[in-house]
Amino acid sequence: MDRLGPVAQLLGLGSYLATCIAGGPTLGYFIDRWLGTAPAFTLAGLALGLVIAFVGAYRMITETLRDMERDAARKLAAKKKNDST
Amino acid sequence: MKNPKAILIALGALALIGFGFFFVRGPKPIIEIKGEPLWTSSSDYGEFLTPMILNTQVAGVLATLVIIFVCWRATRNMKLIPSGLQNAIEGVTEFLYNTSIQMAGEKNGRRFFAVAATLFVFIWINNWLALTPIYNSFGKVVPVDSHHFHEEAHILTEQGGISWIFPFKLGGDAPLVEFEVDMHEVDEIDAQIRQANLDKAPREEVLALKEEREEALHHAQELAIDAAMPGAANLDLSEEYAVCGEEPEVSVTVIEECKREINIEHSEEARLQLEADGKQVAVIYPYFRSFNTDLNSPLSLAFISVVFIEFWGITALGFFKYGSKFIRNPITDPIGAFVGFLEIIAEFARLISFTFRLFGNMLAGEILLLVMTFLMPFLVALPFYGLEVFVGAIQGFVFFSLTVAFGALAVASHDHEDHGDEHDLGEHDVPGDQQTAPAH
Repeated sequence: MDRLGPVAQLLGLGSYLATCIAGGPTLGYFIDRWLGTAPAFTLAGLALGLVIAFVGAYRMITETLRDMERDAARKLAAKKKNDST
Repeated sequence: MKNPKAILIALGALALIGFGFFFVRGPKPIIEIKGEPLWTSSSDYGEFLTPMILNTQVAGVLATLVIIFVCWRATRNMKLIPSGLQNAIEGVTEFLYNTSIQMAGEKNGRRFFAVAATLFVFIWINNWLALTPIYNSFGKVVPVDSHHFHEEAHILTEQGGISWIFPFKLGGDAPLVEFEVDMHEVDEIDAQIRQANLDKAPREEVLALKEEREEALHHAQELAIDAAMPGAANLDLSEEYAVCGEEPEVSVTVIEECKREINIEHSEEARLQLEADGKQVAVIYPYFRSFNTDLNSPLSLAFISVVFIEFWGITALGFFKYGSKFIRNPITDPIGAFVGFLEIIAEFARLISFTFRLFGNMLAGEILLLVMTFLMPFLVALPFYGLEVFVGAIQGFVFFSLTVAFGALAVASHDHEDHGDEHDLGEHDVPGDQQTAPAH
């Protein structure tokens, strides 16, 4: 059960990536259709979606890694405390 | 022949599947992505504002009642050593509570737990209730005519005051009708509207075009219904058809067109004949439909979740400090400003991914079950039911854990040196943690 925390934090990573990568071009497509500027906004949306997907995923993973390190450090400290007493 | 019993069971199962496949296969399912309105207000406020009650909402209310009833039963006479229902509910609560604490720390975990666990229980119970037979099986009969158009409809048989879809294939045609709309004219008007928008044409002109489009669509739908009215093909029209081929040098398409026109002429006759047989062309709006298979419902849940996440962030850090995550001075800190801009969009992406994850999973599951029961009734659909039981619980848990995880992200200070306070405190959480505001 120790791994549940990190796993739960990363459960949404897949659909987050999918949403960003699919959502950007979709939004761009509708803007293009509205303004008649195809394919400018579709491509811009794709680029933006990819960047946001990367940044978001990067942040989620670093956050999880930091949490795991913190947990490990906490456990180590508790163990040392137990050993000394 | 070691185990005659096992072979007998296997043969029985095969026979059951075969019997189902050849004789009890239902009609092709009609898949509706929108929630179906059971009641619509008679006053019309436009497409988006007309009040209506959807079957998904009814299902949501049912799930709420079920949750209230179960909790009432479980807590009616509580014991110190729990057993039965009380034990089960305490187990679920404890599991969620511990997960929440583990993910967000003692203080924040407690704060997040109430909202996140409520979301979990609601989604979970809804998803599991949707697997019971009262869902998607009976409902309101909506006849398909020129006012209520559907691209697909069932032929319902009325027996003893109850309309139902005759499930046996022995009776002849599969009871499904498809109406193909000729969108040719509508598309042309669409192109005109787009051009008018581009040319910045006056508003009245665009509105007139839109009205024209509406009319063209309605006309095309009426034609489609007339052309495909079931039974029209069964009428003895050979004499009328004979006229079509008389002229010399007519191509096949002309004959088809001619026959189609004759069909349209006789569609009213066909409809009357169908009604005389106690049948009607209609679609069924089920009274209960899985709550999360309508995009509005997961969206509203996602809104609750995201609004709470922002609320926790603001109360924990203060309005301006929390806002500085998103908006920074672009002159002194250009990279920070750009990252902040990305954060804002990521916040919306989070809302959308919350919505579509739940909606997509539940709708896909519903369609999977429908299609499997249509293709292979009996037994084959059972493993998929098991899968849906699993997915229903997992999706609720994902919603729960992401709410807690994002909440923990929101209350965490952006500056890295502030972050490790919990690490310093170790396992003993000091009340009045400086990082968070009081919970109440």
